[in-house]
Amino acid sequence: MADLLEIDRLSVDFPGPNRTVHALRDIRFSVPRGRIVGLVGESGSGKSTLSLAILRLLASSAKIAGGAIRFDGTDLLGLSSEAMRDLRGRRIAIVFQDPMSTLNPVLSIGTQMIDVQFRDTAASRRQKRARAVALLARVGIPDAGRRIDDYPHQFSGGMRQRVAIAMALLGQPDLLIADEPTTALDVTLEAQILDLLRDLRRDFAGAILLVSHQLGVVAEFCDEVVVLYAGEVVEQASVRALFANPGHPYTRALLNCDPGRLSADSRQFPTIPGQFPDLAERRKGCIFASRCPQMFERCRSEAPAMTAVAPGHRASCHLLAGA
Amino acid sequence: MPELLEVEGLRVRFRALPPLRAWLAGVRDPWIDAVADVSLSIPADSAFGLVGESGSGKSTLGRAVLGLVSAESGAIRLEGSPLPARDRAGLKTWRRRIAMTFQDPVGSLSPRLTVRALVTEPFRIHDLGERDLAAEGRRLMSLVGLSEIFLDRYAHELSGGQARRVGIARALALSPRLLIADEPTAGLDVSVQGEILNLLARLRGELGIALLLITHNLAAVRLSTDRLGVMYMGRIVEAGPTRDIFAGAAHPYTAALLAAIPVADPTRHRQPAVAGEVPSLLRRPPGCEFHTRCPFIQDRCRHERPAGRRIATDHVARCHFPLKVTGSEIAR
Repeated sequence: MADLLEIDRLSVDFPGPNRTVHALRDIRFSVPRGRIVGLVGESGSGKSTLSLAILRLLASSAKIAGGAIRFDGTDLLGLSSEAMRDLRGRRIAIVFQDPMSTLNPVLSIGTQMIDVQFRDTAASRRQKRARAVALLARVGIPDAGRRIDDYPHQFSGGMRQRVAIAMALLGQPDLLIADEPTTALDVTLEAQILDLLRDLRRDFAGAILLVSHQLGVVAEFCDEVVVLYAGEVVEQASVRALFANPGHPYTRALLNCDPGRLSADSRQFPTIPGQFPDLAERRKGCIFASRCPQMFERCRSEAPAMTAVAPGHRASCHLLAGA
Repeated sequence: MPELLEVEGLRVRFRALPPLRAWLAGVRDPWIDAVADVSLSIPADSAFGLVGESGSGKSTLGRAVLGLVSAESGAIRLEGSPLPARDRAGLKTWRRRIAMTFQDPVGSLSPRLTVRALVTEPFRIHDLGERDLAAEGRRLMSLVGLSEIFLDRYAHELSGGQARRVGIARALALSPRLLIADEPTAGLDVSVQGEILNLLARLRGELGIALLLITHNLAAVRLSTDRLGVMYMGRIVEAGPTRDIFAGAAHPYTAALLAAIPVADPTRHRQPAVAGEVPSLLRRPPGCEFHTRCPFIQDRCRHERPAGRRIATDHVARCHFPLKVTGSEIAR
């Protein structure tokens, strides 16, 4: 079966007056139907640029420098803006980090949840409202029939994120992009929201692309992981393989930094020394070379190709190619 | 050991509703206690971690210690002398001895000043302009591990981690005895979080200052503090040596927080340890305030407010039925 989403050699630039920032370079990975794929990376890795590119919501200053984004076989980059608008919210939906910026503060939740069903001309307003109430109850809003008339500011942060999730699921999308859905929440609420998303997967057959900078969240929630560093995919694997046997030195460094893995006696937190690369520069070698503890001659002169670590597990590192 | 900072029975109130709206809404008591009866002490040279969910009052407590919000009742003492709440000159001296770094790293720096002006501003404010400010600027930059080229930059040209370092440099300019760090790792990547926590630990050793670390990042407090206080709805519900609390939390709320720390291990799945959310401070639950979410609730918890109960030397929990630790299992 073909993949639901296929990112094929995608490059995105942000041209400026003096310099062009190459935010994403040659990104390739796919999201199979019904799977949860995690996209991990630190700030500046391009993960949010990528999720906005899939929805074609990038700022007008961004330029697609090459590649394709195939959704169910169609290249989204070739669609008219009308055709794209028809996909958004219906077949591809997104949950953002800050639910307050998703929701309109001057409209009640109910009005907004009825409005987003505008494509369904057959259903009455009453039916649309009933659908919204049912979904609010499903995501764990107590007393949904009454709360639906409340405004966003009357909900707590965790409840607002539940509303945003309900809203994203209203169109029964094939692909749900969750961009840091729990980052703004406290840990106890984070656990609740992830539990909810896991539970919703039982009646929602679509795929999820979870964008996160937190390895812990990815580890417990995803089937597969794509690791981004400075606009490039450095590793892709099943979640178990990635955490058990990371193939790329950057992935290893990132896992090392996870404070949950430190012993109680250590007093020093591990870090990744060196500077994040300047994305405006075109370099010949490996993107991670300047910070890599295992860097050698070839890393400076030649960009490593994606190499298989094991079946279904690839990483871009010269060490894997057997030098 | 002599205590550097002592907080005793501190209460900070805010008006939650204006009088007319409170009357219309039928709320008889429109005040909320953001900090309700908190006592803690921090010995010189030690690090105290204050954790809790958003709205638990930890930042308000930090601001009250600095005299930025005034206390309704209670006492705050630094090296034995009380906070001069109504004395402007006294407060100014107080703030030379206690400094704070604020939550939003870029937002807490003026966008119109260069880093040089930002880190030397404390000298001007405290009329210490006769010092060699250029040399002080360079000293502070090297103290926080930033290159001198950053002295001529503006706040928007800094990364989150660099802005934190500038905030720390500013706070340390006048050599305080206590540094209050409010969420120093929020919004940073995990590798950069480590850098900032390492920096704080190094500065503590080099300068001999005490640290009050306010955070919701439990992994951060585990290795960088000596003692820990867990706040819930404005109260410290558990306090003790950090190591002991991580080895076995006595309060069910602490246990829930610890269970919610994400683990980067796909073979383990955390379960949400508590249901629901923090109740409104306008309507504090009767009895134990955690009883609405506590998985171990018993009848007594609904009616009777628990007092602090000694779990071990120096380890206190406000719970009628504290958890007992047997090996690695938590049992009742």
